[in-house]
Amino acid sequence: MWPLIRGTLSGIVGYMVGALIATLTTTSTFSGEFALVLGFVFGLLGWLFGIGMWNAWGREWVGLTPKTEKAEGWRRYLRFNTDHKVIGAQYLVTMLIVFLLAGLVAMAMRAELASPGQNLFTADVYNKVMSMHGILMIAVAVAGILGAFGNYLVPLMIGADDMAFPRINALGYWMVPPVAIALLAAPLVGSFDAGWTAYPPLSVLNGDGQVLFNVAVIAFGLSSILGGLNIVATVITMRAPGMTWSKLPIFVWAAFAASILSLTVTQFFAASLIMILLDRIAGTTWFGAPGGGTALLYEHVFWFYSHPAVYIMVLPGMGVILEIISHFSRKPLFAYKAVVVSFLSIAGIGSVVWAHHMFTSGMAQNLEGPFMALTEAVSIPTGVIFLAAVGTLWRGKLWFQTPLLLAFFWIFQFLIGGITGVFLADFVTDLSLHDTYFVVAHFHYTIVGGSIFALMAGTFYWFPKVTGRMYNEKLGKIFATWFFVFFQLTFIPLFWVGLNGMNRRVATYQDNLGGVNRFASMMAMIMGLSFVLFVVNLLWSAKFGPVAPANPWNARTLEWQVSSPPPEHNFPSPPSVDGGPYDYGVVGAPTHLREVADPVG
Amino acid sequence: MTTSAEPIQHGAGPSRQRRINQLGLWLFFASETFLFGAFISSRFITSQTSTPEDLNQALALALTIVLLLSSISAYLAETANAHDDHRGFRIYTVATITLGALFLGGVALEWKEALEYFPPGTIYGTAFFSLVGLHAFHVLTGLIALAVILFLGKEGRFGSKDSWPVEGVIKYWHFVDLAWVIIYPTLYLF
Amino acid sequence: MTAVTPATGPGTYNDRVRLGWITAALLAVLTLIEYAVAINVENPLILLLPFVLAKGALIMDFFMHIRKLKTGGDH
Repeated sequence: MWPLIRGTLSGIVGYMVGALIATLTTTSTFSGEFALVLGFVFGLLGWLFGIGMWNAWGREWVGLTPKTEKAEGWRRYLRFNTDHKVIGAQYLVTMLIVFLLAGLVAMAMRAELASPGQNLFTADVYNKVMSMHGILMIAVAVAGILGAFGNYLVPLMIGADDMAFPRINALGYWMVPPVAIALLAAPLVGSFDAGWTAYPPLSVLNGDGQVLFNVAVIAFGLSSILGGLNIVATVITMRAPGMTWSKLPIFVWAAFAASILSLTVTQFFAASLIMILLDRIAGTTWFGAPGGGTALLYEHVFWFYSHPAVYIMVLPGMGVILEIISHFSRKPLFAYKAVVVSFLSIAGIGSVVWAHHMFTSGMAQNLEGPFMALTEAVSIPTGVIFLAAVGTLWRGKLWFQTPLLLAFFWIFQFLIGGITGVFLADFVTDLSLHDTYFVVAHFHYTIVGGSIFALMAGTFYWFPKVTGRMYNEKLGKIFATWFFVFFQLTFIPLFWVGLNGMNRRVATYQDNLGGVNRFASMMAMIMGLSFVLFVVNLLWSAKFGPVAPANPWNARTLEWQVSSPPPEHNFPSPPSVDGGPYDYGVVGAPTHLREVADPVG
Repeated sequence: MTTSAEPIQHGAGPSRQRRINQLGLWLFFASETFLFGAFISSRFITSQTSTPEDLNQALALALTIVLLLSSISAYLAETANAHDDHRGFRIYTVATITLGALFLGGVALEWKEALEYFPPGTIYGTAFFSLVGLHAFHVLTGLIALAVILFLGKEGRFGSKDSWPVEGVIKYWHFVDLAWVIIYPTLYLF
Repeated sequence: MTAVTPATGPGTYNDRVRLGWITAALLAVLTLIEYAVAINVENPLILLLPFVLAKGALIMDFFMHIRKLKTGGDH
């Protein structure tokens, strides 16, 4: 616990120092906007140095020898730990907690929307609640799979003993708690009500909470950039002998493609939020029309990140699902190379479709056609991935465990998300669908389908590896089905209310839509309850579940060839790779991990 | 938990570690390019290629030359270090830091004038203060990093046997110079 | 230590120093021409691009040793 206390104390001191500097050098008050910014920056640095960056790293910069603080058991997780497996587990637990929290916020939103008028909240409070739900869930989708499984599994799957930059990895994780605290503390200084997209002019004019939102999300973006950098460098340089690019497990390819995106385009989100801060604090006029700026600029810069961000969320999910489908159908992955090309082309084409979010924004009209065409072009590689999933299942020997069940649900969900997306990519239909609940339903099918279902599937699939114990299969299947069924019952009606003109991001709506909304709200509550089962299953199994063997799924990939949980440096002896990762049922195929005559000697 | 003293990969040699570090640094540059790219493209979107008449062209050219001089002195410091010329390393690093500080001083002077003629509230001023400020922030971090390697290398600790920290910092310094190569025409030369 | 060094590539110390100065001189000349072009030409956007590209290439190759990325800088 000591590093946490130390980090908290030096974080508070850092905040005070930053806020004080701001107060002394400018006209800002101690809780003013500039003080919040400088306070957060110094507080973040103080927290990071306190939690262990100073000992593990900073001492080197002044000529001292870095100190390693050893710890055993659960204490390993509460300090600056450079072991990629610890960091992966830290991300998984943090992101699941944030997910449940943001889920509760969603329940509050559905409670408000159960009937047409202003009930639970005023319109103003609803906007703040909605913004909080948005940004927390976006964080989970961005860092859930990539942070948790990317960190935990990429080194294991490629036969490395850690990431390329273990300390940067730990730094990236420990930036997350201050981000969460700043977002959750924003209501103390007026909260933020501009949605997770933070469009100006509102985000330049609203309460001081927006400033906390901006600095927190910029810090989160930096964490995401560092994580992406680490995964790209690890995959390029740390592969075991024999692990050629064409033998890379498909999840590693997916994480690689997503990491290239998060390494590069995330800077545009940072840039757009910095511009808002400059407009608010430094008196620039990027988005202020009176000075000659334009709010349209924000949408371009913001969506240049935030559309590819969808692929940062979904690509790792695709990787997890294809991984699970191949292992549980006991068949080689169908069209491996086409899938790899698709991942990379999704990342590529996905970076040049951003303006399809702006068809109603008043942007240059001659751009609408090209952006529509490019957006629809993304469905070609996405279709290849569906084909690979179905082609692998086809005539497979299916082993219906919870992960495969969730993978089936994923296919259905993402299919609905994809099909409804066509109407939004087409600017003619988008003109009437934009900003309605049709978009909300489409978006949730895509992201909950593409990312959250994969996060759940991966959590069950790798649970034995991470904890060393088996989860409860029956509870797992009940949870998966419950979640899936009530998800449909919640969101299919939302397509309908959207088509009937219900606007998103507003607390109230037309009276005649009350019945359907009440139904959706009830179903949403029941869907939310399913997570009690999820949490109970995981917590109980982690402590009392039956002890898991090294390879409960009989999978070929490297992470299953070491004990559960894996030893400290992953492999007892340097591994090398022989056959492909998915050669199930291929006669005469060598094992993926090269067999050594005497592995210990 | 691994300590920094332990090798990163089973049997990893220093040359492998150097390769990893170098790749990591270039990936970081790629990422930073997008940050600068966002602001540079925004300058063209909001104010196209317009520049105010009151720009101090002589000062801007002088700043550019100072930064170029700091680049060659950084290069000489790196080369001296790689050839175990510890005295040369120290001299040229001090020269680089001095030139970098001179650049920041020049920016401060420029800003004082700019606040009068095209304050941040004007559309050109917005781009000008944002971009020059972003770049100056990078110069400042580069100066801190240079000061750290100067301090750590005062007793000839780096040299050819452990040259990566020096190379890394100096690559960063060149990258900051590279950013100015693009920012300079973007803001001044239209 | 002579001949091959990891940091800057082959050649003696003096060779490397000379190469650095030549690069810097080229950069300075390009900058001055760039400035002269910009001051004397109306709307010089297209004309300035080659200067930016040339200067960027010089810095990345001779100062930042981008070619060492492939070999890792050893030998």
